[in-house]
Amino acid sequence: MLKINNLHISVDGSDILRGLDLEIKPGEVHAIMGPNGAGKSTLAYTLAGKDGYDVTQGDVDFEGENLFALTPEERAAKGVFLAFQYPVEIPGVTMNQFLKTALNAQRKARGEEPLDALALLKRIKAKQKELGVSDEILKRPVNVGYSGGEKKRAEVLQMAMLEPKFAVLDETDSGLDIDALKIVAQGVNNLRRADRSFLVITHYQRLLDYIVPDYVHVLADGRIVRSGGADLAQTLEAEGYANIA
Amino acid sequence: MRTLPEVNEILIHRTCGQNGGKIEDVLFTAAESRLNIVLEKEAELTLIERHCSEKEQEKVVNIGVLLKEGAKLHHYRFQEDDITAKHRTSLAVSLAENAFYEAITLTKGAVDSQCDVEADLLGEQASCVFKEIKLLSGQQKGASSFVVRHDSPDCTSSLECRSVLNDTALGIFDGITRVNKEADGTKASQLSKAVLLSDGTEMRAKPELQIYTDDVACAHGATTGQLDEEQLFYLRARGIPEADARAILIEAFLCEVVDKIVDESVKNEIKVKIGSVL
Repeated sequence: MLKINNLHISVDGSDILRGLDLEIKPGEVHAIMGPNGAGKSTLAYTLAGKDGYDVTQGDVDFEGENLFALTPEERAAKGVFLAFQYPVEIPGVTMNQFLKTALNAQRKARGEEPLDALALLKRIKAKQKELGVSDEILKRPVNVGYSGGEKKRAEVLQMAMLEPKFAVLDETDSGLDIDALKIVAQGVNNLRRADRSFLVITHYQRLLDYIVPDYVHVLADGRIVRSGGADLAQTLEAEGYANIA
Repeated sequence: MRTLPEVNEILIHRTCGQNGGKIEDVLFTAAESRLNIVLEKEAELTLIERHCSEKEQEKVVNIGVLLKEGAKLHHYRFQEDDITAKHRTSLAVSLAENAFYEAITLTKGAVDSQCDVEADLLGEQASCVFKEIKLLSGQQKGASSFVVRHDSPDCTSSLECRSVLNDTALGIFDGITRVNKEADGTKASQLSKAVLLSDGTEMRAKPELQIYTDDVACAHGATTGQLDEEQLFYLRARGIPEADARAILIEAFLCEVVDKIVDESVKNEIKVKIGSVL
């Protein structure tokens, strides 16, 4: 599904990713762990297509296409989703309106008929209950005045609505207490499917108790320095990042 | 709707307590127009002032508003003159005790437009609100100046101007709020926010407070910038094309003013007018 080859990324002239290789097959959940400053969020933003992340070497193949030839919105329509570490506030646009606009924009890009208001509403209702997102939150402007937990739940709600093929979760656990973490993790687990893959970026092993990955990778100094199964996360938690690499 | 192609003078008068539900909807097309509004004690009125013009017309409008005790005027102003026209409005408002005045102006027409507002808060607890949306492109220039005088205690005033400028448009906001020494308990605010969509645009904002007493709560500010890149990326990352994402953010920026309008039909009309430009 996704193949990252020798990826080098520079931000403001400094090299952040330095030769990252990673292959994710359909249905797999990969976790990337690593110390602060290792390049975890850089990887997330690069995959989603944010400006300012310059590809100096390497490429990313997503389902047979060069990911870097696509705009952020084209990537989204083809099934790439980023759950933001810091979801952005957009005053003046309600979450409801945002969800509808995004979903129908993606459908249009894929040549599908737009969903009418009723079908959209049904879809939102089904997902919001599962994630404990209140009607009141959907009526508020996007992420404005949401608590940390509400923002992360709203990210997972967006993911559930948009049904991506490949989702990157960038530190979705940060700022969550244990109850919120369980809800968010459950929301993600409900979306696990044989044809959907996840890249879970986290600093702590805690999230991986609830979203159990198939593979764990350690990112340090811009490349993957160690890979293993789910048990690698436990090892890291016990021993820290200092002895890796 | 009244239309004033030849007749260029009109008086709207509401007697004490008159609070008819009827909206006065006036279309201004003459080169020179004069509108006087007098609301007696406790009267209330909603007025829609519309402008459209011939090509290259030069238009001068004078509006006087006199609000007696407890009178209320909701004044919605749509300046949609031809893109080649020149437009100049002078608006003078005086408010007695407990009177309320609200003006919401949409400035999107005329190559050169100027609106000069003077408001006098003469009676205690009078309140005035001026909100303007400037939506300018090409070589348009849209200037507005405000002088608000607080002459009595416990009055409230607020000025808010939101501008979206494209191409080489020029927006000017000049606000002066003067709080005289009799006017303890004044609450006053001024805010200009502008979004510049291209390099050739310019916004000149000069919010100014002149305060001659101590017991006041006043705030003023001005921001000018581009659309927020983080917001833009967030929308695009969810699959919304860049042009649509920009339009959504501009509309959201302007609608913070519009959303507070009480009259639903006016609110919707302004939203449609904004939407048609984007």
